Amino acid sequence: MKIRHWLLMVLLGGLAGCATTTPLEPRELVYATSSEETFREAVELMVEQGYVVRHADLSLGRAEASLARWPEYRLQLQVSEEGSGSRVRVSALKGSQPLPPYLLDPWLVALQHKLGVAP
Amino acid sequence: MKSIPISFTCLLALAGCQVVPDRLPQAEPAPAASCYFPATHERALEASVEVLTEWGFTLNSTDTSLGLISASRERPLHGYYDPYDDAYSFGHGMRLFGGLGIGRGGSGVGFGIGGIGYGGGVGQQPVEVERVSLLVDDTHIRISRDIRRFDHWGDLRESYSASNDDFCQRFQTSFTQTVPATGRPL
Repeated sequence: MKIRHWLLMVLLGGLAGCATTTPLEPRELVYATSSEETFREAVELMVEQGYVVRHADLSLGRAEASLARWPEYRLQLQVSEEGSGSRVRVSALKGSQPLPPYLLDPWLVALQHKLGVAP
Repeated sequence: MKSIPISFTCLLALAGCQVVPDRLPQAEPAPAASCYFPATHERALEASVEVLTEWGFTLNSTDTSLGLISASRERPLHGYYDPYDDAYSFGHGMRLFGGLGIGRGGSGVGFGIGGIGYGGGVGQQPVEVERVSLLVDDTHIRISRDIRRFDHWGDLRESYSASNDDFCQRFQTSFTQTVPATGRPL
């Protein structure tokens, strides 16, 4: 009986951990290009990868795109000025769960290549 | 011993919870080559909007300075059947509710059917939603598209990227036909 109780407690604990929502954490990278150029190329990269851009605004520097793969992936982009260059913040959701930010590194590198500022 | 199946179910649920992709997914297959084509026309954006609205799309958002059009269209699905749902594999659009049972009591035989639903009838009409985003720059047009299907309960049942050659070719053809009518070339 005691073992069963312990098991139940552990499982409930695990499930509770599963249910908590982790905050949406963006990945950032600074580019030497102007914010307008960076934003244009970033939106183009999303379309190129098959993401459907649902909303984008050049003056706000924000865009949101989604990929129709179960349970739907969403990509949120924010580009702001940073000195003479630009800072890109990008975050991703799988359904309603945020994706770990390190998964976005290849995307930021792809954007570097697209902008021609790869090291 | 009863707790073993329960534990297994819980473990399976937990395993489902923990799945994280190893990279950010992209559309597979990637958008067709025809979804990126040259368009140097000064009224390319207007012509694209014209083609899309003619095809029954409604504009969801646009940014003319960026050259982006985001549009979608919806069509009802009659007798929608989810090919991935094996529970209902006995007929297209057939849904069985309740149960079927044969019982033998002490003195008689009982037989009952709960109810069979065909096609629609529950909640709302199943729909297919097609979304398109179109990026127009000075030299080219780039298209991405997806299709999602929702069932009677409004739940998402199917979703896939559809930036395919068929759609992009048709768009290109209509676009080149529309361009001379809406403006002059550069």
